[in-house]
Amino acid sequence: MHLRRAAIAAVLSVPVTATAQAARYGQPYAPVVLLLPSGARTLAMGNTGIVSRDDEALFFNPAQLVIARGFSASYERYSSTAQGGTLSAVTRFNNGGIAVGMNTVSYELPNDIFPANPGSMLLAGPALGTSLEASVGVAQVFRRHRIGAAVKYVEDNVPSARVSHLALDLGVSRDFLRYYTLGISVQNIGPSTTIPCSFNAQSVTHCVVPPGPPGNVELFTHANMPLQSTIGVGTSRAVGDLDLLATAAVSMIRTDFVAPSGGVELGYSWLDGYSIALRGGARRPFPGETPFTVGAGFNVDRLSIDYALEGLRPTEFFLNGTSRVSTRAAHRIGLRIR
Amino acid sequence: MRRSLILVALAAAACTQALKLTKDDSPTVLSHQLITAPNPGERGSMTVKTMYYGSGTDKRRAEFRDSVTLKTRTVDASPFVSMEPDVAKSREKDWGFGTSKFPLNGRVWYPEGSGPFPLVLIVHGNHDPLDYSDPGYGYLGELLASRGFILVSVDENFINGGLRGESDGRAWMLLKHLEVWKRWNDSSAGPFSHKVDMNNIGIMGHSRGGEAVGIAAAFNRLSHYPDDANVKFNFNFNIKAVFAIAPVDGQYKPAGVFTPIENVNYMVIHGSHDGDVSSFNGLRAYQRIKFTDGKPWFKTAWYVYRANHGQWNTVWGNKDNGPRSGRYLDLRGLITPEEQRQFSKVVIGGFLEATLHGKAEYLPMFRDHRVIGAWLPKTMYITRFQESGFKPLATFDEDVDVTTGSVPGVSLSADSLATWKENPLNLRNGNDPLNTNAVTLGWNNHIRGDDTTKLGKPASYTITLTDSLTNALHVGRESAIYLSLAPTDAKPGPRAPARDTTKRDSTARRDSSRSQPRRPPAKTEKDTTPVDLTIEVVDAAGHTARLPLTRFGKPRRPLDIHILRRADEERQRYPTQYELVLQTYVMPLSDFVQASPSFDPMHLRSVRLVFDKLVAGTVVVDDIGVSGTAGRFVTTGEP
Repeated sequence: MHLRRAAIAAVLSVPVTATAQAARYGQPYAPVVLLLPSGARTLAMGNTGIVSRDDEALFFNPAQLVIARGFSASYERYSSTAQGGTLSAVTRFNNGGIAVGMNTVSYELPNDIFPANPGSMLLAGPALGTSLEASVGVAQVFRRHRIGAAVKYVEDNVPSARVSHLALDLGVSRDFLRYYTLGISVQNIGPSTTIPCSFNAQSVTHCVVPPGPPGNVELFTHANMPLQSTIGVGTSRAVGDLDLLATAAVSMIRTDFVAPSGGVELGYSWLDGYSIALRGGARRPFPGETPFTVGAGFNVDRLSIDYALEGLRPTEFFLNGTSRVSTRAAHRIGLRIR
Repeated sequence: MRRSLILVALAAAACTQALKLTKDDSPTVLSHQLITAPNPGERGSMTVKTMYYGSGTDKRRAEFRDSVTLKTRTVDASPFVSMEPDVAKSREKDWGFGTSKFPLNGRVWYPEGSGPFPLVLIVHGNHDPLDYSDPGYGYLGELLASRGFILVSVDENFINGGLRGESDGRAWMLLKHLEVWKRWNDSSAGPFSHKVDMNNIGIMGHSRGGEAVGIAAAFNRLSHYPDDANVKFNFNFNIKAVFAIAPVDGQYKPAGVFTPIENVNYMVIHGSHDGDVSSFNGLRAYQRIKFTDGKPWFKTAWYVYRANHGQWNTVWGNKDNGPRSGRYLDLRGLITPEEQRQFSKVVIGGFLEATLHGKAEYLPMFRDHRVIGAWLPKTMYITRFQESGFKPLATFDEDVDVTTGSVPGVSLSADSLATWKENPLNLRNGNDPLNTNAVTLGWNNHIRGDDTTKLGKPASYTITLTDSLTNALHVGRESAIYLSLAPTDAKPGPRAPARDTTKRDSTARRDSSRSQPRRPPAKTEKDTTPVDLTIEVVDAAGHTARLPLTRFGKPRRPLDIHILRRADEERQRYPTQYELVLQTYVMPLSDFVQASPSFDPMHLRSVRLVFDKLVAGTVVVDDIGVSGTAGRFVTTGEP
């Protein structure tokens, strides 16, 4: 069992050391929940959901709510100290859809650090952090284009600070060439966070600490809303007896970080209503993430059970300049009812 | 982990229903061969030639671009085939032409010789447009051309795909093909100059094409397009035979009504295990065909157990809903493609020989399929039949009085029946009416009480005719009684004992109601006892003649149909797991005279259905009538 875990960790972590550490990530972002996955199926495909047809499209591109239907819940265990969950539901509204959803995470920190990033989910300590996103989205069809918007309340909590904002997502999508869907979204349109910084020798409190190489610590007093622009395409085709779904997207977080991602799902049905799917994805990792994700799904009529695995590695840098580099697997399980 | 996988596999397997088929009785039902003519499903003696005709410019179809022997002009089908502008644009890009320039493409099998040969067109239905359907009737082309017919498989693949309500366009295209053939036949030169028998034309269609041939038969005699009178028609071809293979019905309704079809010979076939058109829609077209011009037409409908939608076309095969049909259609119950096509060769060959070549020796197979037991693949068939001499006595459509027939002079009565009602018939999918009413008759000859062996007088249902009506209908020894009947699985409870009328006790009614238990509800348990009943005819002098119904055909309980692999989906989609198809029985009065020489058919007074062969049961009956011209459909000797 240990060998298997080690193998998974090795596979997930190897490219990180070569690429992620060298990349520029720009300003720190908050709330952290906006940087975390929100669905098991999309996570397994490189966390690419720009043209998703499931209700978790609410968290990727609200335009797709026109064709998404149903309810889903997913839970992710990032580590023994961090876990999160997502709930969302879409129903028909006029000639489109309307959705509500919530994504939340709770985690531990060795110090009172703000903001956290995906790698923070591996840390342990006395400080507790939570982050929350609650969204309401609506989408309609306009001249054969699906157009959607979502308003969301986002919040970050660390022991000594509670930061909350309203933010807006906009999206558009349409089908083309019979089998393809194109989607464009701009997410997290909202204000940045500014917090007074106070420093003592043992911890960073109310201070924004950017990720970066050890020893290169600068203190900031604000964290940006991760304004994210994404363009992506997806297709689903029959390949022999298999159902192929492929999707790819390029995201840019503000003007700092360009993150291509993509995923593939291969499904097989042996009886109407029953199917299994294997999924895999790749992404340019954000601090704390690893580039590859995998997953599987089992579908019985309107019910689907999904599983996804991603790698996380800590990138928090402490005042003493140390960092842990071991990679851990995070597991996400989801339930969808269409 | 392994245990979990096994559990998942078991759960999935549990949702696949076991193969359920009605026990096959064909070894006995099809054990006779009474027609001695050559098997019309076997190749004839003529040499077969083939050719293509078409626009010569087809972008996708090489045979209609590079191999055409005769070029045809395109036609403007835009009044009949409409689509959204972007769909039209996309299709035009795909095919190289739009609705205003539809090509008249056909692949032809024809006999070598001077002719003239009857012309038969066959047109496919909706299918993947790029999985070209027209080559799939090549086996019929080879057969029919060798037997002296010209068969054209018409290309309408460019109308296939996601269109709706375009069946009138499919029909109009057929008539435009006939115009081309008329020109070629009338021309003084060319390969078909005076070789086409334009007085004997047959049109056949499959699925949507099956509806289209009915529409074409109607358009053929109209002067204007019903949906737009600015479009004028001038066809008037001698279409004598219309053959529909598993047709849809009502996707196009001229002026909002089902397409009326008149004065053609009509045959429709449908498979019980059709995974596409899952109800016998063609039965509705069969019901509404009328014979009004006094000519000798007939119509027949065949329901083929275990046949599907696509195996009548070699391209379509057994996947009735696309390549992945196997995920939800239970293909295990199907007869083989060879058997299904052998069936179609026999009935199409026989139908066209009878109607276009005038070979009357094949007519009896349409009255009673048991006379061609050696030709038919061994499965079960239910057949409807009616010829133009049919005069209705009771069709149950005209009023709500259960005691009156369809014409003055007919009265209906019942004795000891538990169920007697007139009700509309529906197709299997429930929401689709068959547009005809029938009478439901249920009986149980058991007398309620402790003695479970005690039987009462057999229940009966009587159709009584007045003398003047018998005379007006010219009923005689050559006449035949018609009825169509289907047993159901309903079984009424035992009947109440007769009241003792010798006692005049004022309290008797109250006591009786106290002591007697409530009548139990009708049971619907599956009963496999063979169904039979006695047909009794009575003349004015009271002479009776009796014959069992099974002499004239096989009454069968509903045939089990399970098309889908999942039983839950089957139950959800279909209210019944069978299609109620009535079997037509044509009963020559001469047979009754033979059984009871004192019976005088010229003075027929009543026809009685006596339920004396089965203690309890229910039957649905329709289209009771007489005919004086059914004789040509009778063979010597009966199965």
